[in-house]
Amino acid sequence: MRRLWLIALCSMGLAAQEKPAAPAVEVAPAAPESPLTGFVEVGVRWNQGVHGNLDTYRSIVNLGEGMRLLSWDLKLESAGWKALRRAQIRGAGWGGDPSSWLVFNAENNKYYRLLVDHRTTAYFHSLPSYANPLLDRGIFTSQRSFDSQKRLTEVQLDLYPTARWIPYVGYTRDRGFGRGITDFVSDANEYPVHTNLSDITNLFRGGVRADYRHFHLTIEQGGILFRDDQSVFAINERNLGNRRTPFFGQTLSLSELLQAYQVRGSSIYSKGFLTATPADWLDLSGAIQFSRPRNDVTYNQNNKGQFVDLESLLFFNTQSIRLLAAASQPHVTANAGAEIRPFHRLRILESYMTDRLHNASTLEATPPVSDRLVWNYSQHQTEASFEVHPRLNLRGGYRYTWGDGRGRGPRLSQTVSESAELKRQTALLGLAFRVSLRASLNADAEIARSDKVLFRTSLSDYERLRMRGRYQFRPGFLLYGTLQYLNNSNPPGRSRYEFRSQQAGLGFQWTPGKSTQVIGEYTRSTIRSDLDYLAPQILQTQRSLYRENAHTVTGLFSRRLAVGWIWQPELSLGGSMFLSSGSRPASYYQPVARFSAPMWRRVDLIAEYRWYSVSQMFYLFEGFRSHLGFVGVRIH
Amino acid sequence: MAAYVHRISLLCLILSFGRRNVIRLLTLFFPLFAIIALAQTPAPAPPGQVGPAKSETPAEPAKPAKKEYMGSVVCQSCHEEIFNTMAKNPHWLLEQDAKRGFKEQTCEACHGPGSVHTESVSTADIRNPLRLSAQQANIVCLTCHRNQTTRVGVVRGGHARNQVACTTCHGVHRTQPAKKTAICGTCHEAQLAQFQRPYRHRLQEGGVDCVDCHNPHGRLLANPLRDVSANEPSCFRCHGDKRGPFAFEHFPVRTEGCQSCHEPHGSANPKMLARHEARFLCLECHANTTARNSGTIGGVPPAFHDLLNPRFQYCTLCHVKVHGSHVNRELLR
Repeated sequence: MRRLWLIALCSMGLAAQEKPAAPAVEVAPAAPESPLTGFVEVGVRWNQGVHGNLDTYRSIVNLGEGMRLLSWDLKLESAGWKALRRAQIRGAGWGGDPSSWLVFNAENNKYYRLLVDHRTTAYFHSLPSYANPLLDRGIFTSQRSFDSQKRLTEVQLDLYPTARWIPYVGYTRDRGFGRGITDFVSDANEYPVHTNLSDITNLFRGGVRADYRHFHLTIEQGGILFRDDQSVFAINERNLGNRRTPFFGQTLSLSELLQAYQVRGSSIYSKGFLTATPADWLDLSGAIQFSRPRNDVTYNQNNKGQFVDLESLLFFNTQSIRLLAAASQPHVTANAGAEIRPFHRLRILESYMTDRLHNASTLEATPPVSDRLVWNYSQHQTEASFEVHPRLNLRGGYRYTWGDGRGRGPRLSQTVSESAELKRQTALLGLAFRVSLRASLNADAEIARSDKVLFRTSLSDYERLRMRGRYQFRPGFLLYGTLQYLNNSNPPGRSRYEFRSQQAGLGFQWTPGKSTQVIGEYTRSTIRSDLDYLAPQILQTQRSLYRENAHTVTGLFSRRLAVGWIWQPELSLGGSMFLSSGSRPASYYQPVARFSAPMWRRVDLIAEYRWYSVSQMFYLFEGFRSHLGFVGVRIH
Repeated sequence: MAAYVHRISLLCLILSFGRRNVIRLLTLFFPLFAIIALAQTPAPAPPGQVGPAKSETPAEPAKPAKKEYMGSVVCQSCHEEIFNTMAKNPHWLLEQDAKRGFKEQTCEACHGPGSVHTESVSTADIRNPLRLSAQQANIVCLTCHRNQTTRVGVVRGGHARNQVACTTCHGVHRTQPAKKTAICGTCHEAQLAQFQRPYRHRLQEGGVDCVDCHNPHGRLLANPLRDVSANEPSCFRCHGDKRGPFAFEHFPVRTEGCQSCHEPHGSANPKMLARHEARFLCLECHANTTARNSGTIGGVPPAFHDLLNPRFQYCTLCHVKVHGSHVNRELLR
């Protein structure tokens, strides 16, 4: 261990700008007799300071300094052990990185398979341009800021008592906690205050898979326990809120607040999958899934200050609210499908799917309030695929989508509920063309016409096209490209909504020799959206315009130096660049340089240098740039 | 009946609407690929096979020698590297399990009988799934894998429809799964490029993987997402606090999903929003120019929402529980 530290410290002095070798070179198994193989990468990262907005840096990059266990992959394998024939543990990002994960699996093909997956994610978001009504006063704090952590753990155990019946159990735990800034809303004013976040979801599941020659059946039963104890608070402070003027001569303010949510939820769910092959020309499949989540909520609010009730126009100093609420949401999803092959070259794919969700809730207030949301959705699709030639496959089909939804109406619209329907017909077209082993083209298109849609922003009459092509010039050079196109326009008589997006990408992978590899990709995407809306304060039609014209370039040049020598260091240069113009112009650069070199028989030096830079033309105060270095060793 | 009338009318619509565009596309791309096709040497035709794949391409002119199974040990003599990796592969189960019908013939379970190939040492005499069409290659895999959970929903999945073979993503000889993001990125590089934007999920850092959210084998839900805890979209796997049910739901969260407001792969806008400012996102639904007869959901905000005042330019300042509220109808707390 002392040696590791020594190497890391010496390397810091040698290379002032490098980092870890992310794409770990294929691990050469150690001596065949050794049951343990793999590698560990460990080192030190340092940051030469963030120039610009630190909060934006933390919202986007958030990499810190210090010792890091960058990644590891260890495999233990022995044919002689009955209980543990094979085990593997992999992970990355431990020691304080915003994303870290660990996967452990152990198995013996005859008895069991155990999988454990654990991840932690740090979520930091604090942008002064977002949710900041005080920006014009020169106050650079967001009133929707969060500094929180997510921890997700999944465990699954499959047992193999027989080759045909496979019982399994699983457990998932999702925990979120942290703090932030949010608003406490009172009539005529809102006050930025602190919030604490804390929620836990525990999911238990168990099931059995039956795997027979002509059919497969899976039945699973599960349950969820959910707890959310978030709170919002302010203690002994005079908070004037966002309102800049007195309200009817009174200055509204908040001095104390405790707003506590106690949410307790549970859900049971059942699901069943069936696939069957009753004949060589027929595959059948079906699934049904049912869940019934339910939440019970106790809400307490105590606030002191100077407030106003807009309905009665009365001012008051203290308020205490206790509410009880409950919501239940039965939800069933089912689908059935068939693949029919009446002839050698013809495949007919038929499927039906439905999704039905009904939410019913009550709020014990004065007067009591109940609410309901109904959503029924169905989809039927038929598609035929015909092999015109072994290299050319054409297909065409039809999809009919229909549904209806009903929810509460807007408070001032004098309607208790509002509802909408969905009726959409879509034509499906496609081809798969394998010109040769070296070249192929895939394309599929959808042309849809809707009689009714749910929302004004829903796609109504649209055409969608996706194309992908690959061409291998020579064994070491692969060229590929994609094109995606979506165009929507509402028919006359409906609210105007024009939406067009296009993404075109071109990339290549070139391996001119054993020691050199070059990868490059360029993507251009455009979004153009025009939608009319009604400005509420003047009740006049205005237009919401969104434009984005973005270029993304990604590349990596990698070369093993001094080929033929025993000492063969590897150098990689590359990174990515994002440039956009339009409604929110932005540029984001992430160049990177990596270096790795063998030091001893089982130890490599690894180093990496990264530069992060963000700039936004309309929000220059949110820009930053940062230099990050990493140096360490890879033991294998 | 109404559905069939719809279908016929739609067909007429397509024929009238898209013909010019379709012809334009065909004229653009087919000559290009025809040129590429001419430049290629003819690919070897799929070899004739015996074995379980009944619907494969008819055999080439018959080889005089009869094809027979030789056993994996014979394959090892020339392909030792692959043989050694296969020994650590789950497919090696075939080698030891007589019930599956390929005991000591793991290689030939997929590649077919190898007797002719061992004599001629010609690639034309052995089945290589990578050289077969997607449908034919899948038949080889589905000989054993047809009845599995992953097949549910395949008929609705884009990969099956686009003739993406199992071998396109799965390395049959591999000892451990390849990095999923890299595999997906070879075809979906436009989506991969979105992860280079400033506000995104942490894909490069390993925080998430494509298959955490998507089900590559097919989909049960209407959108191309995985389903978690029965029939919920995969977003709730990590964002459990948004799962609900809420006493007062925000309608599009339940019907059109998170992507009605967010760009989950990556965005140039904070919070991965689809618009540069949240107010436009909200107003596009909540300001019906034809509210009475539009037949869509989303009403007009009250007139005190003076958008010229900065307080009203950030909707989530007040509507803090925009994903759904347990206690407030206007999603204020």
